[in-house]
Amino acid sequence: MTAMPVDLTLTLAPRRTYISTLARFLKRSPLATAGLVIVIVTVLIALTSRWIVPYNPITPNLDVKLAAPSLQHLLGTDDMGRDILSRILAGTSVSLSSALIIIAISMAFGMTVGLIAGYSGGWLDDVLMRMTDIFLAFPALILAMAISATLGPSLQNALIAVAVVWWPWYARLVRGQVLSVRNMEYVEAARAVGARPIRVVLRHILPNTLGPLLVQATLDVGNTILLTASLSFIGLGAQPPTPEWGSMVSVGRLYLLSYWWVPTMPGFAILFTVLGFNLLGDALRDFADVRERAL
Amino acid sequence: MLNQLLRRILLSLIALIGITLLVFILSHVVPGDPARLAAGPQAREAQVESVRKEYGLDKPLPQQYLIYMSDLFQGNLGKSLQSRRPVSEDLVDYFPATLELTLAATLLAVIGGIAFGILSAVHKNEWIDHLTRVISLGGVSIPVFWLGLVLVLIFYRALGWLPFGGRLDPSLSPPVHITGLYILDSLLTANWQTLGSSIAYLILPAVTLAFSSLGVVSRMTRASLLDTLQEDYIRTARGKGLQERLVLMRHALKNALIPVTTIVGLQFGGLLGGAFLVEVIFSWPGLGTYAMKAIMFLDYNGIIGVTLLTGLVFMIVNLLVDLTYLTIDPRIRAQ
Repeated sequence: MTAMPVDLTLTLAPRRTYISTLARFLKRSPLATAGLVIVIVTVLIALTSRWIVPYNPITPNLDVKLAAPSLQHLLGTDDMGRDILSRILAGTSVSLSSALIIIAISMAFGMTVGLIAGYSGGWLDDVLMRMTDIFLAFPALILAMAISATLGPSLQNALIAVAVVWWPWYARLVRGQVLSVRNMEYVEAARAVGARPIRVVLRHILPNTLGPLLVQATLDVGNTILLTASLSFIGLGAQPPTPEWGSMVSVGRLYLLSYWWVPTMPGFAILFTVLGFNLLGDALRDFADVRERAL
Repeated sequence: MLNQLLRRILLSLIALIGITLLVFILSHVVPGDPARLAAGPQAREAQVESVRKEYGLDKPLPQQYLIYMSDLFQGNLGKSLQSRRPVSEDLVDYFPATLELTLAATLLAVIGGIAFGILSAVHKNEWIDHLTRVISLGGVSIPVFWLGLVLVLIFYRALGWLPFGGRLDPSLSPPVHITGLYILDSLLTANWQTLGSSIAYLILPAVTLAFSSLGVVSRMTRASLLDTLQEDYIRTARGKGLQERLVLMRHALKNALIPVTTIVGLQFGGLLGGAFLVEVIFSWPGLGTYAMKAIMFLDYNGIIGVTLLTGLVFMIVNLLVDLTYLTIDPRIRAQ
């Protein structure tokens, strides 16, 4: 049998590598590039903070307490004489890992609920959605505060509290996605050839919900860092001497008028990190053309 | 229209029952021993036992929920450990300050946000548009408690333009209590000195709180207005020679603001939560300050009371927004 003389390369679409997609994405928006750079820097700091901190972030050094920013202590020292820059650097991994844990928990739970609600429809859908309504009926911070206070003040409990407040958003997002693909022809085709519901959901529906979910997760890194820092600020999250940004602002607040650098410096770290993730998330959303979730 | 109205109210009622159920679970089921929590950390075993009896915590859960609901209907939220008064009385005292702050911030966010939104839609891709983009991105990224501290440093410490700490100059006595909102009460009693002072004390906390919502409202207004300006009827209005200002204000804006209304309702929840943090910074004697004290004293009834009240207020506001929606959008009314 002789090979057919067909030029296959003509029929293939131009190959899109991850690199070229990324380049296209970054070229469209300088703000996205800024966001990506901030995110990469933050992640690098979080991974290496143990080795790059100039001073021990936890051990007090009362000889230099409340020292103004100088060449020895670039961002000054706090009420215990600890180097603020070192504490901010060490706090990066606390904030980032907290955000990732919260998003992982709320995404796993929200996705399960959203898939079940969207695919099954009917009364189960109604019940599950009314359940999310109840959680969304409270201002997020206040519900998280109540849960966190019930469980007792600690970083771990604050993370649980934020995850409990956060999952309904994912449930709704996934449900919406499921509804939009549920009746598409390829899903019907899968059903028609006898695929069981669990297979239809996992193989054919779930992969189509992942894009918007990832965009939301990027934006939520910023949101959950803010919420966790707020809980720490009111004394419910990380407890001293843990170098957590929100709790650093909270303790430093007492020194605001005389030693302004103590509470303000950690706030810059929060602003910088959250801004980075928001810039990146916004650009990803525009890129993926996901509908804006009303927040 | 009536059907829609009833449906919204019914949905709100379901949410209301849900709110009580969630708060009930938080106060009765989640804690290992709710009686010990309610009695306080220093309580002796006998006191805990009496709390357990008093609140019916030794009964089965469904029955406990019924007891809880009937207490709730009588306004009984238990006793606060820190103030040693009924929580409901505390809430009545502390709520007006939070309401005044949140309303002022909402007003700022709506008026400022819509103004910025119109300007950036009209001057798309000019400097004012870029400025609103920066404000809105900064607004959702900035920790509100930190923004408050920075504004205090600038406007109180460095420039000395605005006062800080509390609701009123310490040398003045609060206006006669009518609504509990100092500005409104001063106006009603024609007490101009108190009015001036309470406005001055309100500015910094209200601006701090409004900042992030202002950004969101302005982006929403901009997007919605740009969409509306593409419509055929706008072209008709322009085609018949109407001044651009009239096209914008009379024809486009009305329709463009419909989606903005929803955003404002949702933002209110964020403002209510943010108010808690802002109050702590500015020593504003509202629910946030109360909740913070409750957290420090592990005053459990206080925390639960605050949560329930804010859930209720948020629900009512969203119901009002839905109703506004019905009145301003004839298409929904006609459905």
